[in-house]
Amino acid sequence: MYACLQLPHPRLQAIWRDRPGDRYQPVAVLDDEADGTNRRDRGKARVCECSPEAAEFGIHPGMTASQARARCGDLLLRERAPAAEGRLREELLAGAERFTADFEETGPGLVTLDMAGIAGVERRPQEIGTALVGELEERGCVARAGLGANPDLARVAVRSLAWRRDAAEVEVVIRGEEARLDPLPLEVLDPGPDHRELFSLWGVETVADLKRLRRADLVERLGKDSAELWDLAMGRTRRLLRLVRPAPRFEAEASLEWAIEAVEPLLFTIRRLLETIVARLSGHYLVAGEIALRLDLVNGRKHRRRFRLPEPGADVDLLASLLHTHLADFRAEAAIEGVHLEVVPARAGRHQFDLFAAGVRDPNQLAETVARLEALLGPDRVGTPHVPATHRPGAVRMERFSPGGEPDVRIREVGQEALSLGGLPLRRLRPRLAVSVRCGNRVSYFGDRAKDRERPLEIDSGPLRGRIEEVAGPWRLSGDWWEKKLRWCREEWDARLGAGVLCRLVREGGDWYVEGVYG
Amino acid sequence: MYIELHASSAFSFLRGSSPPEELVRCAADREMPALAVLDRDGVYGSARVHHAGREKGVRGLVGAEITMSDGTALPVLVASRTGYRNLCQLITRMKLRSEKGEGRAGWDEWEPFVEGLICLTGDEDGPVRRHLENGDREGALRTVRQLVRLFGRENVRIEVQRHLRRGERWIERCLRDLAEAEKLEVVATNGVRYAERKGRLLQDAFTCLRHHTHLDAAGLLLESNSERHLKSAAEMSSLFADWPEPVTNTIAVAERLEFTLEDLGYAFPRYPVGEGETMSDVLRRETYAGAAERYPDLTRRVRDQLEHELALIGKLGFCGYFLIVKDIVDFARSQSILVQGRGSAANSAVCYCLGITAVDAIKQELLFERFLSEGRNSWPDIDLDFPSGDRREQVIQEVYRKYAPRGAAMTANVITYRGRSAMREMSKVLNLPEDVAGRFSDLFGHGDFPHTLELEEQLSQAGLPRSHPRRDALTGLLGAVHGLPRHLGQHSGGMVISDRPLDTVVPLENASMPGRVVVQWDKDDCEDLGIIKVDLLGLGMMAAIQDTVQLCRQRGAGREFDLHTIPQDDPATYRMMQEADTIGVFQIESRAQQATLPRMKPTTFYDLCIEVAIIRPGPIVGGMVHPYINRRHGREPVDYIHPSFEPVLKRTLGVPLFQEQVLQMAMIIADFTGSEAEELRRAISFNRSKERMNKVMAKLRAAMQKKEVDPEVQDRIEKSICSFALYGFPESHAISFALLAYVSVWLKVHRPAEFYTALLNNQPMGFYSPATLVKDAERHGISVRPVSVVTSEEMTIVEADDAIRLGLRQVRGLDRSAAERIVMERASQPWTSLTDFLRRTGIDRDQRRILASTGALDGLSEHRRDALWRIESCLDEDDLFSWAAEEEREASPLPAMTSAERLRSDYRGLGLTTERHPMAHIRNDVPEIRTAEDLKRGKHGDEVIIGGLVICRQRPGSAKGHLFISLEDETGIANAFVPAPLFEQFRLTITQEAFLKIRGNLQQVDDVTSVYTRFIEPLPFVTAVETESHDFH
Repeated sequence: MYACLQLPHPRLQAIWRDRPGDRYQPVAVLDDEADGTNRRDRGKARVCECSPEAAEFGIHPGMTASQARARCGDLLLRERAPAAEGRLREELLAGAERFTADFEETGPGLVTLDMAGIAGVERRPQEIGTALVGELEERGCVARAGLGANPDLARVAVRSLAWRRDAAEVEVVIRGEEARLDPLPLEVLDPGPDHRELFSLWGVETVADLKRLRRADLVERLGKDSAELWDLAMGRTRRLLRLVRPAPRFEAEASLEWAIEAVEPLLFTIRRLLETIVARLSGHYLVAGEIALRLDLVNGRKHRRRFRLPEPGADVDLLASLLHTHLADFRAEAAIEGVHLEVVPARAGRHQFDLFAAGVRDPNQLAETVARLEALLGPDRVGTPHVPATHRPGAVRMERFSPGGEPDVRIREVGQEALSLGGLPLRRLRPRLAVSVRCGNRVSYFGDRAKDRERPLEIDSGPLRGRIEEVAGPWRLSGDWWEKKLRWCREEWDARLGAGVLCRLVREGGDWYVEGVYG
Repeated sequence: MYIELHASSAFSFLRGSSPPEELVRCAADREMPALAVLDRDGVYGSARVHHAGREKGVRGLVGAEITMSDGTALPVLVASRTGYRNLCQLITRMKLRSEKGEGRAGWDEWEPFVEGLICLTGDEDGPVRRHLENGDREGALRTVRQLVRLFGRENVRIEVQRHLRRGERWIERCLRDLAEAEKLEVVATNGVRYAERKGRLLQDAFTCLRHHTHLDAAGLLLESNSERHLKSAAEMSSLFADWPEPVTNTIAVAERLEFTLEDLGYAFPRYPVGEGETMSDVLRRETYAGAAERYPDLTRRVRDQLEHELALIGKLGFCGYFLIVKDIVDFARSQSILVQGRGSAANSAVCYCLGITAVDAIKQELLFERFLSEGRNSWPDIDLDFPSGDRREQVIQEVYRKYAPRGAAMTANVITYRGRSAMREMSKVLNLPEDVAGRFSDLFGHGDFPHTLELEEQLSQAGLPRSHPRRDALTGLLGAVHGLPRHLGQHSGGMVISDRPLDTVVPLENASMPGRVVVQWDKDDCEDLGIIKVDLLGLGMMAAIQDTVQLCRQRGAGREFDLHTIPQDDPATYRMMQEADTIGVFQIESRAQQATLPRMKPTTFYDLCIEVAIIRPGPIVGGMVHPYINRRHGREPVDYIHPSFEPVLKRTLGVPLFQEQVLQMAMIIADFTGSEAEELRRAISFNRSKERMNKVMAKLRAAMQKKEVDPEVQDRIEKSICSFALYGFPESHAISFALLAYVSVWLKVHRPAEFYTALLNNQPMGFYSPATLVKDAERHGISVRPVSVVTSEEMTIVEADDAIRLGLRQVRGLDRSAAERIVMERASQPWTSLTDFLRRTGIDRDQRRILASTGALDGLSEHRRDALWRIESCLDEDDLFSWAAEEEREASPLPAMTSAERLRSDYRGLGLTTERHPMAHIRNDVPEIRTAEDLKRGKHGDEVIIGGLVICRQRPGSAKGHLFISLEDETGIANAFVPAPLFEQFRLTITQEAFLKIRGNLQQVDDVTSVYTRFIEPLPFVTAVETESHDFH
């Protein structure tokens, strides 16, 4: 006996998980790669799945977004959610695993289970199906189950539920009952797109229609694939399951009876969880490559953080100290009532250092140091700076610190350019110095607005105050105009002050700054 | 003083973001006396600069940036006519040897073309700066010396630009050193890419398009500031306050640039005449020879008119032009190609005598001044219509041949950014999801039309919320890019010819169509510059008429006829028009025409002319359709606006419908001279310039006031003239079109089988799809027989007076060579069986399936599915025994297709069905839906429901957002009117659904039946039918 477990509309279900409000609404999921029928609309995203509420308006897969909206003005259009689909798939596999280790992932949202020799097999097939569906429902999924004498029959059984008028969730087709499938549309056998079109031309609409054709005639015309389809219709297929062994998950969690308000008990709990996980890792000859920590706060919020280990390892002390470093400076807004740890496994590190590269001798120490710095400064302020391709002066992007990485080539180029232009080095003031500058229109300058005609005459405030003896500029820079929050515009001047100081003045948003001093 | 010597317009295609006119306007605002627009690899924008400059008092200097073989761009300015000729020839040479849009010049190619040109060293794309940017001063020096060697020291200028960017001073110092070392003058330019600062945004967007990237990824490719706009002399002087010479030097350079496009050096070819003869003599001789045929009794009136016209033609120097056009017409006739002149040429009796037009201007009392007048400084406009397709191409190639090499070329057609293309490109630039552009386009339906949905709302409906951070940028870019040139295509028929190689007048380049060469200007630019254009247009209906004539001739006695012998007063023809039974005919088949025909009830040829002219945006805007019809039916008194207009407006019952009438009114009421009338005509037909219209209207008003015309009359005259400003329609044009319309209706009445056959063979054309034409043919008693490999030819053929057979070309997916092979093999020996057919044709499996599923193999099998079953057998082509075995096989186990299945296969494979209409299949399921036939028996005001296949969605610009929909069912066509608010409510349903169900109130007015829509919903159709409709044109 085999069972087939199906999540109808898996893409839609994935969206429901992220957006519970979409349930019972007319919703259509769009996919850029879904098949369409109309040549004119090629290249447009199409509906790949839709909710029953949407289907009532005549919306069906293959329509463009506009065609679907034409049928239902209130239709909710959603893009596919790959992450949620991944989570849904994991639920399906986990649900199957609860019953047997012998199952295959037959297709998107579809698993086939070998039910031989499992506990409770004595139960009636209908009950097994109900239990399977119940398991998935507990996991927040909508599921159907089909049972049959062989894997394909089970698959056909579960697919047949889509054409049932009642709300049945389980279908059983035992040996000798294959004829029950005869009146069902051929689609229940899931023929490939080529066969589907030709069978449609042939008028082969139902399973019975297909069975009426001679197997040899089919093979002669359509090749051996069609024979498999014919065998399927006759319930004669024989095949082995391509078993899935889900990757082991290394996670542990603790729901605390009393909410924790201090670090020590929290560290104690974490250490206990780590010990469990590391023991499981050792069983698989693996070590920890990354740790994901989630703290559940009593106010319902969650604190999440990921720690990547520069050198994968399975030393509990080391892992605990990494988390300790982070938690030492962590201030939770409420007490902690739950801890969840998940470790991404890795193979134990074996590598040879480059002959001329100075390798990191103690990567774990380095990681801890970086973690300390991140705790002190914030995670976005620690790492390797990279200069993005932009005209914005001083623009920088922090990337994860990776010892021994290549230097940023662009920085070198900019440096060479500056040198070739004979520019003096600029010592930047960080943060730049806000100053008050008196301007005047001694020289008529370009631009339309009055302020453009003004040039700086004197710095009125700050340590560099004084008359500007000579000024060069302005140099104008602006960019990222396409987004209000990002857009920037500035004007730079090089000014020589009375004391012979040469500095860079910047006007941005009407305010003046000394950005640095030359020389 | 400063003159910008290096600006690029949007005609540099993605290298400039302002149209030439805007650059000129800004130059005028900044009191710049001249402006040089140097487009990349062409003089595309120069004609517009010249034209706009003439109006604004800015001298348009000519030049171009030439892409060199090393990828740099060398800017050159034209100093003299020789220089212009050289530039045009160089560009032509590099363009004609390259793919469309490509072309580079080698350094070694310049030598013969440098005379009369001044070269600048260029901006950062220039050959000198490119070296300096790489720190290669030696390379820069070498390049400068090379330029000096080529152009001469006095013709090379070192170009400096200050864009307020760090580092540019170092480059400037290098350039200054170069200038001193080589004793060259320095000029300042701003390397203008946009007229005003804000143009930088679109410039950045164009940069992304050019580099196939988006703004988030473009990085350093984008501009670092907005300084490359057109700056005034004061701004440039400030910028170069420390070094004023380069700015003032621009004046000296501009003074050396004597050439403007005023001095183009173009001349129309001379017509070859015999010794001792002049072109005028030949024209007179040819005219009177023609007159002898056209007017057997040459009356005094005719003679006077001919003399008047000949005198004016001679005086204006247009004799050669008339003779050359006649030459083209004669060539077409010699090749048995139908040809007819249209446009204002039909106002000329000389054209009638020369055989250029078929309209007797004297008999029709047409105004010759509309065609030619003394004050006119442009050439007459003669448009020739030919059957579209190969026959027109034959004429075009003859013109190329006759004026070879390079004496003839097509005019360009500037394709601009419009709603959908603009959205597609700009959303790509802003890195928005691709689907947003798709959904935006869907809201247009399947064609651009003046729509009532605001851009903001349309963006929201396309899935871009108002809160989207890039929404404002998108709106701004869409506004900026709208109407800017996107690329250059070729005009549908405008051809320019010249007495000398055209590449000395304007650069030529390849069109994407093989064998076609185009000039870099469009037809308006050519007209502005006095380049003569002859429009060789293709009309699908001419092809259909010619094919009908030939089919009738082939079918012999009883069917044969000559176009000239068609009676002009055939009652059956007029009856068909009065009943608006005009699907498939010329001009009067549209939804709006059909709604007017029963009201007009044309009984004479002139009625038909009015009918053709009356459904135009002009008259509708002016609110003049109803007055005419009301007056015609005596429901409103005839009023001539002013008593003096009576002779002019009498035949249109006091309603000015034609351009000629408007001109005559101006001549009468405001004493306009011929040249002033010409000015008015150009203002009316030129929708490019509002200013031009205002100027001439002011003149008219002043003249009327001077004559103390009643202010109310003045207002009415003004209103009627302004309504023509959008789309003028001359009477002569209407008459030419009416001739074709009349012939096509006559053919539909008297030679329906041949006519429908010709229509189907010349698709796509006209208003309706082949599916609608087939159903219309069936309603007219023609049996349309399906495609069959046993009897069908490649094209549709006539099998009997009341039966036609669809051709193999009607089958979608059957390639032309397969169709040819089928016909050829069958001609050698008829098929003995399906196996025989498959073996001898050897067509592939996909094509066999298409033939079988559409019933084309029915003659060789039991039914479609039998054929579908049998063609799938895998037979070894080399094994004769396997073929023999196949022939003995038993019949297929598949059931025959039901009628619904056949319908679906027909639409999929043919796009039409010769069996029952799709609506007939669901008729019993929708008892509430009235048939189109039944609708005529309803009462005005009845609440009705109609439904059917959408064959036409029409939203004329003049209809203020209202929509007309035509639904076809098995009994005919039902029309519905959808008011604008309802259209917005059901926009997507209307534009996306193939079958509709409409609820509304029946309207029966003047024998016109339509439904005033109250509610629209999709009509669910069990069989998916892929259909085509005529939308929004």
